[in-house]
Parts: sequence; C-alpha cells; structure tokens
Amino acid sequence: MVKDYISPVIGIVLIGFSLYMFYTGIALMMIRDVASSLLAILIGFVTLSGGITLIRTWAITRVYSSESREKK
Amino acid sequence: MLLVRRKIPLMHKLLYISIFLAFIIYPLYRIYVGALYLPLTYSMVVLGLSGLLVVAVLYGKAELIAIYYIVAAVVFRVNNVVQPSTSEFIIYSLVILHIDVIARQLVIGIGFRKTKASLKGILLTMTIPAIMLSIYLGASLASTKLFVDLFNNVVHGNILSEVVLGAFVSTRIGSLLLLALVSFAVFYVITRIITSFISDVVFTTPGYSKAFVSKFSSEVFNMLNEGRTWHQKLFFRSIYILVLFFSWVFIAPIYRLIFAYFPVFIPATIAYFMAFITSIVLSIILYFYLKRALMYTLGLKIVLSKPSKPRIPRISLLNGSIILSIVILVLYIISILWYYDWNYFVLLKVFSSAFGFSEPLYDHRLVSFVDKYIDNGYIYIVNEFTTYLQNYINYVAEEYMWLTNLIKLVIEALWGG
Repeated sequence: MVKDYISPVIGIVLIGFSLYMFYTGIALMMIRDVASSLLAILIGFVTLSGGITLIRTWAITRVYSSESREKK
Repeated sequence: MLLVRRKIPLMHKLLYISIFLAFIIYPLYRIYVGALYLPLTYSMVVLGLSGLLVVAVLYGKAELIAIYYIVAAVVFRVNNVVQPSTSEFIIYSLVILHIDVIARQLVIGIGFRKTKASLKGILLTMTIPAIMLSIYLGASLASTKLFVDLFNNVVHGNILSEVVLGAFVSTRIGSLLLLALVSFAVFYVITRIITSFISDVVFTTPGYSKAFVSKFSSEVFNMLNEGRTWHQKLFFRSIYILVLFFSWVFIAPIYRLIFAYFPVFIPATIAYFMAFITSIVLSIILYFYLKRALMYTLGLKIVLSKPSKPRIPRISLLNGSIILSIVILVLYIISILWYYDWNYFVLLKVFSSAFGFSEPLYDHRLVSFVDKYIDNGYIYIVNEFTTYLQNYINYVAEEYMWLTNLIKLVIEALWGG
C-alpha cells in the first residue's frame, strides 16, 4: 500500500524542488549572476520533467490496472 | 493494387495516356513559349523538369504534373514573365487533377459500372465549392473595401461613422466589450496554443513522435486520393486547392520579410519555394480541420477518434523530455567549463550559488556580453516591431489583391465572365 504512493510523492517533491530552482534562477538573474541563474533554471527543467513523468506514469498504471481488474 | 493494374487492358491504358496528353499539350506549348523570355539557367530548369511529365503520364501520377506547373509558375513569377500567368497555371493544375480522377473512373473501368453518380453527390459537389468560392470572394472584397472605407471615413471625419463607431467605443459598455473581446482572444490563444504546445513539449516521447510523423506522412500520401466516388474526389481536391492558396497569402509575406534582409545570399526563387513548401504543410493541417468541421456540421460523417490499443505502461524516468533536458544541462555545464578555461573550482562555485548555498558571483565580462547582445537586442526588436508589422501588412495586402484577382478569374473561367 505504502509502495503504491512512493512514486507520486517523489514526483510532487521533484516538482516542488523545481519551483525552488526556478525561484533561485530568477533571484540570481536579478542580481546579474548569469551563469548560476541559467544553471538553476536548467536543473529546474530536469526535475520538473522528471516529476511530471513519475506522476503521469503512476496515474496511467492505476487506470490500466483498475480496468484490467474489472475485466477479470 | 498491383494485381488490379496488371488486369487493365492495353487499350484502356493507351486511352488513359492519350486523355492525359490531350490536356497537357496546350499548357506545355504555353510554357515553352514563355521559356523563351527567361534567362538561360531558368529556361533550362523549366525545360529539364518537363521530364517529370513523362514519368507522370506513364505512371498515372497527376500530382507530379501539378507540382511541375507550380515550379514553372514560381520561376515565371520570380523572373517577371507575365505570360503565362500564375493564375493560368492554377487552372491547369485544377484541370489535370480533376481529369485524372475522371479518366481513372471512366477509362480504366474500375468502379465505372459499380459506382453511379448520385444526384445528391453531384449537387453537393457543385454547390459547396461554389458557395465557398463566393463567400471567399465576397468576404475578401467586402473586408478590403470596408476596411479602407472605415479607415478613410474615420480619418477624414465622416460624421456618421464617427458617431456610430466613436460613440460606441467611447462608451463604457463599448469599451468593456472591446476589452472583453481582446481578453477572450488572448485567453483563447493562451489556453489553446501555448498550453498545448507546452504539454506537447513536456510529454513528448520517441514513440509519440514516431507515431505522429508516420500518421502525418500517411495522411499526406492519401490526401489527394480521398473519397470513393469521383464527385467526392473532386470535392475534396477543390477544397484542398483553395485552402492551399489561402494559406500561401499569409505565409509568403513572412518569407519576403525575412529574405528582404539577405537579398544577395538568398535569391527570391528560394524564398518563394520555401513559402510554397510551408504553405503546403500548413494547408494540409488547415484542410483536415476544415474538412472535419464541415463534415460534422453537415452531418455527413460523425468524426470520432479511434482509441489506441492500450499497452502495459511501466514507470520509467527515461522518456524524451527528460533525456532532452538532461542533454541541454550537460551541454550547458560543458560550455561553462569552456568559458572559464576548464577551471573546475569556478564550476563548483556556480553550482553552489545555483542551489543557494553560497554568495552569488558577479562576472563583469559575462554580464556585459548579456547586456550587449541579449538585452539590447530584445529592446531593438521591440522598437522595430511596429515597422516589421507594417511591412508584413503591406505584403499581405499585395498578395491578397493578387489572390482576389485570381479567384475572380477562376469564377469567370467556370461560369463565364
């Protein structure tokens, strides 16, 4: 039961972390630290796509497994 | 299909080819006469490409003939050769595409006995393109005239238009309505285009891209041979040709605008060819949406998307969007290292300040580079935007007038002047 919810929780944590990275990127850009700001934004993109993929695949798996259980 | 083709008697094949030849001879004569006025290179291109016609006639591919006409039309237009005109070539293309359908059905005999033209189908074939042509013509003429009239009247102080328009827009309800319309348009663009674009980018997987490309290419392949009976085929081809030339009106000015800055490196022919290719792609997309909407409105066919076969999904972090973002991240880290002369300590500092662990760095060289090329460039583009827009509108007006004349010519050719 607990195992079922590991991937969405990790996904949400990754999305939250990506928001933090975007915030840091904007803050650094405002004080003209260009290199670190772009790096923060790119890390944010990686974690955002990772989080979204985790949640999406988890949702699809749940729908698919419930449908196959109904068929049986 | 091959078996069917082998069964076709030789006499029928010859008859089919002779019908094709009868309709090609006059346009060919016009092209050869016009080619005398072209520069040598261009005339060689036009005459050399006429080899396509031999292939097209032998294999029964009317699409190749239409492509040859388009190429010839572009070459003549670019070189300012007035005769034969572009509108002539469009009529020739329409004629040859239609003749191909009729010749296939009537001469080769497949389906001639089985498929009888129904009265409903014939009426639909005749009325829908006629209505569409008249709406396009009327709308184009009316909108151009109305816009010019309104503009003149408002500028030169016609009391009636000033009272109606000015009074409406200056009232609170009128301005609110205008604001609501503008905000609705912005909202529509944001929800429909930008969010779908972002979600497409985020959810892109190699499998999805592959399926999209294969579906798109098969749709393109089947596009010109849609419909079961000959009147259905004529109907779809007419709509597609119309959509193609309307998308051309909006695409061509963009290329003219871009290539106006590189007149030496990029000749006008390439600009026109690129505009044609983009118009073809855009018109295919527009055509499918238009056809689906038309079919749905007329109640001819209920369009339902086919559900794809469900596959067992597995949780994996390695999909297209993640790989793409990781590749960009790695490339960026390598470029930072290159910029700071492969100094790993600076990279560690950049990382720690990116995570918020240490004080931010201030690199004067990098900041001045960004200021010079990105900030100032952005400000320059914003300032010059109005000029670009004005040029674009001028080009659109020019192409639009050309198209209006063309449609007038098509209508005169079909129904008499």
